[in-house]
Amino acid sequence: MNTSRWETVIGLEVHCQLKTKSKLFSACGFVFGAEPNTQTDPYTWAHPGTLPVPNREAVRFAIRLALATSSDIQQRSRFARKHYFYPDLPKGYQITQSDHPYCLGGHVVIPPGVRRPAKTVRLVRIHIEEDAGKNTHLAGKDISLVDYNRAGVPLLEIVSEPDIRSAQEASAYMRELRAIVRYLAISHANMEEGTLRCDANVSLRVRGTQAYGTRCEIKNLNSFKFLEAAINAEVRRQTALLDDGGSVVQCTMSYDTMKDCTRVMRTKEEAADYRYFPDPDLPPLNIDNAWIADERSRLPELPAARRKRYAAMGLRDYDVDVLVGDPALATFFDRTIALGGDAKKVCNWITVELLARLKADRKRIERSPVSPARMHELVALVESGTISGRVAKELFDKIYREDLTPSEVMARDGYQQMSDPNLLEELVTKVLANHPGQVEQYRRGKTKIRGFFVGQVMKRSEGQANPGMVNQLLDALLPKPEN
Amino acid sequence: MIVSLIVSLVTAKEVMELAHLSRLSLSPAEATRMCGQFAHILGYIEMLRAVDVRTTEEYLSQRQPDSSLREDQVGPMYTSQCALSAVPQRRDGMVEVPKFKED
Amino acid sequence: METSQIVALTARELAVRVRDGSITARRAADAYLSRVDAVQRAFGPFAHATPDRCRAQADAIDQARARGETLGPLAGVPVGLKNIFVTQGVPTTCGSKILSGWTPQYEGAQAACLRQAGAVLVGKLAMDEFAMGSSNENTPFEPVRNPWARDHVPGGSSGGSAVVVSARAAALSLGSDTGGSIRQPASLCGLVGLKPTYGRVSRFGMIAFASSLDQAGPFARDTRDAALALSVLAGHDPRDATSLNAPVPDYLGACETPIKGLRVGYDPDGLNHEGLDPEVRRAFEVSLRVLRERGAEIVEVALPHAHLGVATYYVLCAAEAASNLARYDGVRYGRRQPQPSLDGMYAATREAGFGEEVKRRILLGTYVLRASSYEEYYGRAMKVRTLIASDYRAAFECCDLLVTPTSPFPSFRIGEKVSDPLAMYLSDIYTVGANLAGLPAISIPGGFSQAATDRPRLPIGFQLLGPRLAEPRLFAAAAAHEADTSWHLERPPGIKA
Repeated sequence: MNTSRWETVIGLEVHCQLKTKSKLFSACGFVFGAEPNTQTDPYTWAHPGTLPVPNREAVRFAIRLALATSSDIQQRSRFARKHYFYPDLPKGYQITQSDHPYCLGGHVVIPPGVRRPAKTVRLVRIHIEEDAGKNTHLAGKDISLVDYNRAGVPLLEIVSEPDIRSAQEASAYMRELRAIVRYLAISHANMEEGTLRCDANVSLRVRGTQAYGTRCEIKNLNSFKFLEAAINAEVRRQTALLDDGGSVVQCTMSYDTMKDCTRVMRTKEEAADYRYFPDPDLPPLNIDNAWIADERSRLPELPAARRKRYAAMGLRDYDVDVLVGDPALATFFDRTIALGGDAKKVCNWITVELLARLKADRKRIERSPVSPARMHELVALVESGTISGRVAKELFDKIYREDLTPSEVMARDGYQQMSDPNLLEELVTKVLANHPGQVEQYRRGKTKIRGFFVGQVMKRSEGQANPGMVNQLLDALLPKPEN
Repeated sequence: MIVSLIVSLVTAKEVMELAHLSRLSLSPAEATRMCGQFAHILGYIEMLRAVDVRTTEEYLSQRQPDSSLREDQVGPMYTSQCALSAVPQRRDGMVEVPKFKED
Repeated sequence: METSQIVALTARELAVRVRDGSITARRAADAYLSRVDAVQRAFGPFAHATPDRCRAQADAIDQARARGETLGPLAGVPVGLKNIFVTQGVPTTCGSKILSGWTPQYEGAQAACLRQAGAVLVGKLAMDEFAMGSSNENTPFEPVRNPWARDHVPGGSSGGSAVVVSARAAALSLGSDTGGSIRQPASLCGLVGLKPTYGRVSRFGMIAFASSLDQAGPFARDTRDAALALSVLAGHDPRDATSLNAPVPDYLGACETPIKGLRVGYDPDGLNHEGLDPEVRRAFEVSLRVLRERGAEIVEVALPHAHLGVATYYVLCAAEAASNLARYDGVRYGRRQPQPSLDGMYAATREAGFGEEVKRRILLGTYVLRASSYEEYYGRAMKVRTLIASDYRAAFECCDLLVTPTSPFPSFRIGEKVSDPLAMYLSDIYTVGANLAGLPAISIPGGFSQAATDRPRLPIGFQLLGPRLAEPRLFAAAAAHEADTSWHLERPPGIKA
């Protein structure tokens, strides 16, 4: 891509659904995946006479995101009405923020990736608005159906500056935003469920120049895969146009996932006049410094800080990403490591063994049958040499399936360690007697072979020999190696 | 201060555009009638243009700070049956409308 | 007690008798209901009479009394509600075909307040469509007639609300006032009509016309009944973000406050309006004298931007209305005009469902909100609104109350002004200011025009405006005015009670 004379310029508009108990402007509950039109109240239907009253928790969530992105919170902001006729828009207008959003500016730092350095993406603004309902188009029939469950659910729209330069960067930015809102516990931020959505503004310019080219907006990108594919497709389309000496016409596009191409939905000339004006039903939104300070004091450790902390523990980049990518997983790791143990080993057990099992069972880490305390105990048993790795895996399997601690399983299933010095000495002596050639090699200085003897002892003891004691016995019974 | 004294004239074409924006299917006769009334009303409104508002803020009624936020609690909701009973055309628990292009 | 004696009682007298058991709520309800058919035939104020509900509510009050429960301040008082107020289980059309068939599944704040105070609902009342109008002629139904002269308009938009009280088909009624829609019909029908401070009465359950101007208020036969009604309606409602969280004072008690030394201001320029009927001007001067004789000090004030009120008002209310009426699209409730395409369905539904005045305002509102004209129209009007509001603030530095005529002219013949929308708009010149500045204002009976060959004897109104939340002061002055006049005691010809 770097060989192209065109540089890609991308700005993202991300919609993030807030996980409040009630909707943005009415005391109507909302549960994802409910039967159509069961999550409604008079306001949701825009029944005549109903009025919006803003949800304090939604504003609080908005403040948290503004603080996490260093966005400048405005003491006074306004809600505005944005008008267009659409069946999923009950009032004929959406309540959003236009001229006076609750915060301006800010930035998101994308962590470094493969062949990609860290990067700061500036934000234009974040604003609060309400979601629309959902339309279903019946195939082969000339009707569409509308479900208003989602109508009125609070959204934050996060508008970035055109600071993003590739599809990969765009998706990394989305992942970081997702991590941030999940750490803030303000959104499920799940692209598949539509609680995190994205529109991408894409333009090209001659590499090395400053002025922006004409941009096209790709709407409704609902997975990381399609976000990247759509941007790449749009870059291909614009590159072909410009290479042919043509020009890009500003328009709104959709991405065809089957044909892997973008197509024009409407051009600028057809752009709607939304007739924005301040919503007379809603007084200005006041956010005072005391409220901001209070939220600031209750901000959790954010992904960037956590990433730094894990790196300092010596974890590999890949593991850091896996842990930080899921706040619940990172919390699980933190709780485990808080009990002691080697960070890398604990991380390994969690990200390899535990995650594999959870994934196979389609369980989230919050529902892990193995608690941080049991995870810690297991790793500690291995680390102290009390059990071998092989036994540890067996134990892990059992504590995953049954509600028992590792030591409880050991006691019940006869994993009692072979720590009787007489028995062990007999065993070690027998192993050395059976392998005179290897003993001789050891004596001649091939000390690496020592592991072979440990393995033999463990094998004969069916893994129950105390590895520490076996080592001590080998020290005593093996001949001194020549230098 | 420069006061614009040009009375805005709204053409029949513009009235039809407004009608489309507001989803009204005006008959040509209605559009013509509205056109005349518009000129009359906008002519009257023209007096606002003579006012110097360069240093004036848009009106905002006085209100107590923060009195308007609601705690995040779920209140009375409709059953789907109750909600749908008002709907002119429904199907499978949803609201039926003529098929339209998604955008 | 005879029906005519019962309906002759004021609302507060009736409530006292229902509470002390000298009249049952059922008897009171039946007395009023017995008049509904005749009043409807003569003047047509009802959109939907609710006799069964009324009797059931009255019976419930009598049963509550029998159980020894404390009854509310409006116990057994028959009331009517403008059809702009949402009533659960009772059709609510806001005077429009577009809402035909809609029966609300929730209860509005105003209906709930009245019910909790013990009032019983006589019916839903006719109005100009979506409260847009000053004569009740903007309706797909029969126009409402003025009890003082059947071929004259009752005023609007709360015409039906004025007529039921005037013709004794309800003891009290509720209207809504966006630019004068309570005060002007009260004036044209010889009643007391109050527009409270913006935010004083909840708007939850009042169908929106222009949200920043709309305010609900009572129609009553006298000041004290209006004060009693406001004491029931006023208060904070968390379901309306613009509702004021201020204590509710004793409005009835305020009616007893002497007005000696009260500074009453008027703007002499406001009386130079060319459309001001000479008889209205004469009546205004009489009312000023009445207040002066009661000890009020009359002062002249200036409201330099008042003449911009109507222009400002029409820009703003059209904009807000165009927005508020976007929800009537035939998708979720009310009338739908089936069409093969979605846009076709929208346009056909709205074209068939809305009347001409509503469409005119939607188009005007859409025009002033378009990105290309926003600054020149909507933005500018919102700034002029600030200037108008500051005029009032400045005036209230020099006086405690302001007075004006309510309407520049008394009632007019049905059909007389329909062809000229702008002329109709100008009937609001004295009333829109209170809405633009969010101030409380009351219209009280202020005399009658002389009978002449071209015009019968018609009521004239007198308006008092106060600073925000100064309703007690309005009531004090209105009650003082009422004590020395008898216009409020006159009944329309043919109304015996």
